[in-house]
Amino acid sequence: MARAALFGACGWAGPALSATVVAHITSDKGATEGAVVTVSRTGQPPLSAKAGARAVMIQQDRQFAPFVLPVQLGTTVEFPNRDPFRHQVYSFSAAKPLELKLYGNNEVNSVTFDKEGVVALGCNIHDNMLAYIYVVATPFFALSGKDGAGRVEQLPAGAYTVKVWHPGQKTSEVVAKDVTLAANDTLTVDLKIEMKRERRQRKPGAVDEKEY
Amino acid sequence: MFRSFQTKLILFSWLLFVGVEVVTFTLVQNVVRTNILEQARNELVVTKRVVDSRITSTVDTLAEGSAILARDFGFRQAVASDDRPTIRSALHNLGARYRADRMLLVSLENKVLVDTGTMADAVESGNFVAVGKPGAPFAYPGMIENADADGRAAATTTLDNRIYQLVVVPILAPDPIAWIVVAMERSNLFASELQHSSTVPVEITLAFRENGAWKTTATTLAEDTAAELMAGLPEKIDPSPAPYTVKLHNADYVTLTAALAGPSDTSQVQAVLQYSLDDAYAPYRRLNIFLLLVAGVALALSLIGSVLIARRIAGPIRALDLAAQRIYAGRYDEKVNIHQNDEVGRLSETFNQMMEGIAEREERIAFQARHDASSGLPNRMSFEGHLADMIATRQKTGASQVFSVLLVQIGRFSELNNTLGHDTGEQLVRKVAKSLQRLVPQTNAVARHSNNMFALVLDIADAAEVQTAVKRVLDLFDKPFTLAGLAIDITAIVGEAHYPEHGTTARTLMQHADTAIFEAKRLGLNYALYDPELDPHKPERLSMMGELRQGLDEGQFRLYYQPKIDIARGAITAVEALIRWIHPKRGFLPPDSFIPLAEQTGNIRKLTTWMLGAAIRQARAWRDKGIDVRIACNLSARDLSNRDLPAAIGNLLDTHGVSPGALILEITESAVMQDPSHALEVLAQLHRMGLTLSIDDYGTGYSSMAYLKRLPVHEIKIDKSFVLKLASNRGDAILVKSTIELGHNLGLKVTAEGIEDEESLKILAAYGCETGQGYFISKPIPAEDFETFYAVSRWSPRRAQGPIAVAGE
Repeated sequence: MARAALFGACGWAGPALSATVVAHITSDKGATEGAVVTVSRTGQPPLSAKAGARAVMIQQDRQFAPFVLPVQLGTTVEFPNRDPFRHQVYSFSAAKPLELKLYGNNEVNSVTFDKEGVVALGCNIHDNMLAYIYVVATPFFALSGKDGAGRVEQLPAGAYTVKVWHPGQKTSEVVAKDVTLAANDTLTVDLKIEMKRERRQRKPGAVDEKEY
Repeated sequence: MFRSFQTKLILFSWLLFVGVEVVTFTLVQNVVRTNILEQARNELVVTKRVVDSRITSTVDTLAEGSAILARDFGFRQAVASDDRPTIRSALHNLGARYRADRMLLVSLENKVLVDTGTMADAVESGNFVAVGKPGAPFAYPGMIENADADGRAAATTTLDNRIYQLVVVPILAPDPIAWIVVAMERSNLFASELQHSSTVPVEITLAFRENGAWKTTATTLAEDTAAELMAGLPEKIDPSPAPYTVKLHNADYVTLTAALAGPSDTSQVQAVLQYSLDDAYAPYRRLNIFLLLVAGVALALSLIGSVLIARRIAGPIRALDLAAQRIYAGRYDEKVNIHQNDEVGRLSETFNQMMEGIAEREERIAFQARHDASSGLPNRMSFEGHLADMIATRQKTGASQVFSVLLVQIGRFSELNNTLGHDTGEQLVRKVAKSLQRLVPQTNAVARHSNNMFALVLDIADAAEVQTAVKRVLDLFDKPFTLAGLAIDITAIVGEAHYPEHGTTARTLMQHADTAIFEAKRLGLNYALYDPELDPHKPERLSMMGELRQGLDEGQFRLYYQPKIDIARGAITAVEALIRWIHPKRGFLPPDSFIPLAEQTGNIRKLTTWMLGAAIRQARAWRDKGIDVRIACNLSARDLSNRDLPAAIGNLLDTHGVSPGALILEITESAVMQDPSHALEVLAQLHRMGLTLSIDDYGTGYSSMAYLKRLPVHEIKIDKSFVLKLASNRGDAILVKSTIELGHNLGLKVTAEGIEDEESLKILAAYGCETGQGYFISKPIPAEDFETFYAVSRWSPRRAQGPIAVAGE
């Protein structure tokens, strides 16, 4: 599955928008799902999303959804609470320390992410809850599917850097690859990442010998 | 030294007991030792589990406490914002709550951000609140990796040369943002706490390697003992070792080493658990003392017991031994005096009975050995002993008082026995014995010498008195003995020898008395005194017998033949073979000089055998030459007692092919009478063989008509003493005539020898005497001369001479 995010890509609409990058993400465990693939023009300064860009991180059934939410710089993320009880969403990540105080059913709080980087989200009440918001400075990004493929379309021809990030990767360094795209090109890029372990959100109330 | 039975018995039972005790004690010791070792091992394993569980529970507590702190929002905020004073105070607080000794905050980059420090640090800095030295890397990054993977990590390891229980937990926000490290020091106190919580006093030591040597900061052992233990530990310790025993300060410890879970293979802390065998043995020590005490008492009792029992057996055995020695020495008077109601007592009783039995039997045997069973008289051996005593007494006193030894031989004894039956014979012997004892009543003066002979000693010096005594003995046999209503005539011959004249030993005296009997017999008398001159056993006579045997071997003997004629026909029909000895040195020896001697010494048998052989050979030679004569040979008394004689003669006849009818055997009456039963048997056998038997020298002996009738003979030969003066002596003529008539009436032929003139021959012819022999016809001549005589003389059958003219009245 390739879900292309097209936030802020309208300004570049035209015949030139025809190249496609398909990044195949693998680790030692094979095709890797849930990795964020970003494609940015080489030498391009960070690109913020247009004003009003929004995304949603839902709290439901004591779970964050989605687990990984890639957003372009400047995007406001809403945190709707679909549970009949309170959550206290927090992050101590440098990209966006936050603390959404105890809010109740159907209450929506929103935060605008104005800094590139990983924001690890937790709930101070429910230890099992975990999610990541990955803030990127490019409108071209995608999340890899079960086949490990992240597909980024409608790219103008030109020189790009393809990067991949995964919450379970071993180091904070991101794997990158420089590519040159011709018009209407479909370029396949193989990117291999090194995983520390699989990071996932545990089911609420699940009895797990590992204590988080 | 172990020779006595008693000692052996005591030693055996005692050693057996000691052996059993030693084995038992050793077994008990082994079992105790095995049990203690087993118990020690179990205790150590249990203690190891206690240590493990204590560590686990500590780890759990610390991890729990740390996790609570790590989850504290404010603390996380402080960590996220790197608010170090807050972090430190929070860590101090945690440490105080859980009595942890040291706490660290370690960054994701493995840098120590905060260190609460140790007491040592506190003392060094002079602050109550100790401050460590942050900035250094955390020594065990592996633990952080494990904590990242598993949520927490724990290890027993060292920090700055101290042993700590380390627990690492992450601070999650919700990803790890830093690590809390809680350290609980493991000191001597910890070891002794563990020791107290264990049921038995197990020594606990935690050891680690430092600068290539084992070191400990946590031990229940004394410092020097611990040092000794550290020095003895091997560099590499088996990860799963079996308990083993080490000696520390002269005490044995069962030791179990176990590695405590550490951060990695390096800097691993070993728990050394030890169980003192001395302590373990303590309860058994009393048991051992008790066992040894029991063994000692039992040993003493068994020694006393075995000594008592051994004495009870060995004492009587010694007494029995002494008694046996007395029996050996022939003393039966002293009884064994043991009164015990057991086997030994019964043995002693039996021993006494045995002693009595032996004494009784010995007495009987001794009596039997010295006495004759049927007559009750002393036997020959006893008699010889008596004589020897008499001689010894005389020799001792120097006196040479004369005494006489008499031997009384009963005539025809075996015949009497056969006729009357053995029992009657025995009765007769007793009767004779009684009579003799009445005559010579002195003790041991009368003895039974042999079956048919009695021996008497007459201790009388006076010769006339001796003669009287001898006479009385002889007179005894004049009257018949009456036995079971039967009057039995017994003849007896008495031989006498004198001490010291005829011998100075019992044996010699007896022998000489015996010789005297023989001499009496030879002379046809019933008594003779020993005459050394006639003794065939005299050396010169004995040497003559040796020469006789040699002479037979060397052919010094010849047969001469005296012709016999059939008086009616005047023709030779037979010859009498007569032996001649031509001695190489002494020349011609007359038969009288050696025949009686040969008869007495038994050499006559050899002589007879030789003579029969030569005669039969000659008979065959003459038959082959056509000389038809029968040959007469003389047999002696000895020959008649030889049961093998008939067979020997039969063999000779067969060998030379001579018919039995060609041989005449001449036997004197006295020869037959010496042993009539044997002689009769032999004669009967010869008769059956077909030999002609002739009674020689008829008329000279005590001729018994009854015997003559019973003898299986064909003819009688009238002794020459009657024939020599036949022509001139009227008395002789009457005797000869009646004898011839008697012979004819008994169906016997009659031969007359000693015919020296023609007149006598004629008289004999007139009397009807069948055969004649004498110098008138021919003297004995050698075989070759006889051949000529047979051919050419007046009596040659070939000359067909008429009958001899019968002499007128």
